[in-house]
Amino acid sequence: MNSFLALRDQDLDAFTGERRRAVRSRVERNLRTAEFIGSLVELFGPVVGNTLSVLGGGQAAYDGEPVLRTLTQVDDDDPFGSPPAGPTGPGEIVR
Amino acid sequence: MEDMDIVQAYRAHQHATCFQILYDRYAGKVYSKALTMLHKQSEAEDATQEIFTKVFLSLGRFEGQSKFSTWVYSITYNLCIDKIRKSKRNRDLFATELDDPPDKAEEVPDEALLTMQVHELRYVLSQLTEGERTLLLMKYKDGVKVKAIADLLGKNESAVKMQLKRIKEKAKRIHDKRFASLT
Repeated sequence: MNSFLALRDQDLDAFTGERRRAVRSRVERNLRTAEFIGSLVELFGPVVGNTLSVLGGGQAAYDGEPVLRTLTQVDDDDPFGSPPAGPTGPGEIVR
Repeated sequence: MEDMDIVQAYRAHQHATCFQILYDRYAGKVYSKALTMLHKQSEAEDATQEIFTKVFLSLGRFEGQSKFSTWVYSITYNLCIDKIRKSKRNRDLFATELDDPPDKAEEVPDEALLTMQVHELRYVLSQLTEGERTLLLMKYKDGVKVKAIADLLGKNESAVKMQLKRIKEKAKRIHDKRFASLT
């Protein structure tokens, strides 16, 4: 084996066990942090952007998902509500 | 299992096992190359950590046009060169040949360096400048092609070859001065 390869093997031998594991866990921690920050940005980024836009005098570019809105008749799928109006009107039994 | 298969599996599911396999495959090589360029174990470990973080965060952009190993090594070299540039301690690595005209000495054969004992090689390397040491180790320890070194350093191939030729001469001189009398 040439001297440079022997040198490389010696270097690699030094980077084993605990040192190698320590570097790996630092990488994993970095990735978890990046993932967490990414999901925060994904969640709140549009809202923050919108707020800044409005504060700057502009128009809201992002309406966001509607959270609360008035239910229309079509949306109302509540099984415990009144039955929908049929062709014959409520209360009338069709035989 | 091929690297690309593991990369695709990691991209799809973010499995810790895929991370583990790729890390185990490349950690030693990346560390060795970082040590070649940065020379200190602690700096090489920090660089290895940064390189792997960068690799896994950028996996979405890896399209498989080059081999995964080539892509990892280019990230390794770019990050290490950035670190060296920031520390401004390796100006000679990026110096041009124009400052130093070529000499006419006969080329030292590679065998003269490759057949040294490891402790002799360590001594010789310790006597070279950081730039010289990095170039020599990239070529002979990491097996990087002259063209790739030239691309990494933004030089042309003949400039790198000339620089390597001089470094080998200097290394041989240092070796002979210290060890020739002992044999």
